[in-house]
Parts: sequence; C-alpha cells; structure tokens
Amino acid sequence: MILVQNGNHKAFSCLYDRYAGRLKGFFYRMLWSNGEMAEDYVHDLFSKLIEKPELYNADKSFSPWLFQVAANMCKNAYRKRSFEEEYLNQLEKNQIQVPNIEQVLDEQLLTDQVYIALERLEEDKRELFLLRYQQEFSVKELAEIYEVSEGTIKSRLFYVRKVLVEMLGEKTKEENEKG
Amino acid sequence: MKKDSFQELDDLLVNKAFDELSSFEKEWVLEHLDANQYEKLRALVTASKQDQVLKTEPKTKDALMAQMKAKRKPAAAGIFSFQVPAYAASLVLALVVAVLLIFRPVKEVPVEKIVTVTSEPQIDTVFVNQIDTVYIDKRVEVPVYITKLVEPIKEEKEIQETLSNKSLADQEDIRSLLVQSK
Repeated sequence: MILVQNGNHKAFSCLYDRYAGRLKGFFYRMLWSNGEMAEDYVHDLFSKLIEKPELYNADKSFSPWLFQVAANMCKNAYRKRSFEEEYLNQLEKNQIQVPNIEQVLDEQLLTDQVYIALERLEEDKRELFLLRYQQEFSVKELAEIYEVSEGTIKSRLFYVRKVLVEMLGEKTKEENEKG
Repeated sequence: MKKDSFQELDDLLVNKAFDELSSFEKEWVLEHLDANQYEKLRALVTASKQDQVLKTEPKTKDALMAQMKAKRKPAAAGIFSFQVPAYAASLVLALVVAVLLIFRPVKEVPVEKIVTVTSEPQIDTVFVNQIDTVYIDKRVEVPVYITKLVEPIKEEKEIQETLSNKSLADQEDIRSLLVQSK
C-alpha cells in the first residue's frame, strides 16, 4: 500500500488482484446479493484508494483497514436504502404508480437461501458474520476492524450465532408444522 | 451454549461437518447445540464462504488503472501536458526573453585609459566668501588756493610814488609810456 501511495501502478494492480474479488464477495452479501452494486462498490473503494491514499495509516494492517472502509460504505448504503424505501412508501400512500423495484429485487433474492438467513439478521450482525465466516478474519483482526477488544468481538459473535440458532430453530419448527 | 466455549465451537463449525466430528467432539457439541442446529449453522458458514471471492469485471480494473495513471503522473509530465491558452504561453515566452535580455551576462572588455595624476591636491569644493558690498575710501580732491603775499617790486613802488602826486590823466600817460618802454 505504501508503494501505491507513492504512485506505483504495478503495486496497485497487485493490490487490486488480491482484494477485489474478496471485496466483491463481501459487498455482494452485504448489499442484498446485488452483483452490479457490489461491482460498483469495489470500483468506488479502489477509487478512494487512488484519490486519497493518505487515508491509510501504515501502522495498521492493510486488510482489516480495507474491510473497515468497505463496512462503512455498506452502512452508508443501508442508510440510503432506508431513505429510498421510505420515499417509495410515501409514493404508494399518495397512490402514484411507479414500478415496484423493491418487489423485483425481493423476488430475485428469495431464491438465495444464504441471503434469506442473513437478511433476517440486523445489518451490524450480518457484517460481523460475513467478516468472520465469509472473509475468515480472525478475532484479533476483527478487533482491529471494529477498534474494540477481542473479548468484545467474541461476545458479539457469540450473540450472532445465538440469534442464528434461534432463527434456524424457528424455521425448522415452521417446516415441521407445514409437513 | 456457554460463552466461554465460543472459540472451540467456532473452530469446529468452520472446519468440520457434524459427521466428521470425533465422538468426544460430538459429545461436547451436543452439550451446546443439537445436531440439526449444528448442521444448519455449518451450512450457513459454508455457503457464505463459497462466495468469499467473486470475479470482478475486467472493465472495472481497466478504469481504475486509467484513473491511477492519470492521478499519479510524474510531476514533469504533468507540467508539459498541462493545457495553457496560447496567449498566456506567448506572454510567458515574451517575458522570459525580456528577462534574459535584461539580465544577460555582459563580457568585461579591458579598456586602457591614461589617467594623469597631478601632484597638486585637487580641491573639489571651493568655499568663497562673497562680499556683497565693497567699501572703497573715496579720495576727494579739494583745490586749495594758496596766495602768496609778494611785496611789490621796487620799481613799482617807485612808480607808484611818482604817480601818487599826479593826476589820473597823467598817471595813465605815464603808465602807457612805461609799458611801451618795457
């Protein structure tokens, strides 16, 4: 990253090859399994690296820092989406006919089993789950990303797992009742 | 599920399916979760790991590389590729030429010059006390008439004595005679 800060093209290319795919995977799961959106977010993130390489502090590990930035971008995306949803609800109340983008997206996403499970998680828990199990960050690295102690990370992960177990239990119960 | 057993269970979930667990591990896992819960959690972890890396589109990288090259051009290249209006460029050029002409290095040619040095000390500044009014003593010559008392000559005395007894007509005749005789 220091080479990138000094304007080294090859270093940037290596950096991109190493992390772009992982970031896309993370964005994909975080941003409603939307491939195009994930691609755009990868572009935006690396664009930020080009425009403001000084944001990176060489004292920190690069990978956790990169995913910290990615996680913050997702938070902004959630805020934006909640605003858009509210806007659409408002339009519906006013009985204005607009194509229901949300419905199309939801139908597409219903086929994705992982998404269904993750969708039921709150955003911050989903983020933590993906960073731990999808991107395989260690507890220590996660502590670096969230700037909290390792104990706090363990506690949060424990809670996420507990919520998931409960959710899966409910789902199993529903399936049994249907059967 | 106890909180302190988090790490152990986490490792098992990531690495082993329920069937792959040893009997000791199975026993330990079943203290926290049932087999179904474990399998579903494991399926979720495995599924999320499947799209850990997604292939990005080449155009994204191309665009970023182009952006990188544009942003990180060497400073010298940046100067030459910077677009400047023609009038500004010509103005700068004229200014540079003018500066060069003014400050061009002048060759020092030795010139022989004969300088006569006089022994007399040169006086640059002369102080002159100007006198506006000049007083000149004017000499006025006053004619002085000095009269000399001269006693009548003896002959005159004798004549006068002679004539004193005579009439005026005679005195005249005598005088005219005396004059003629002289």
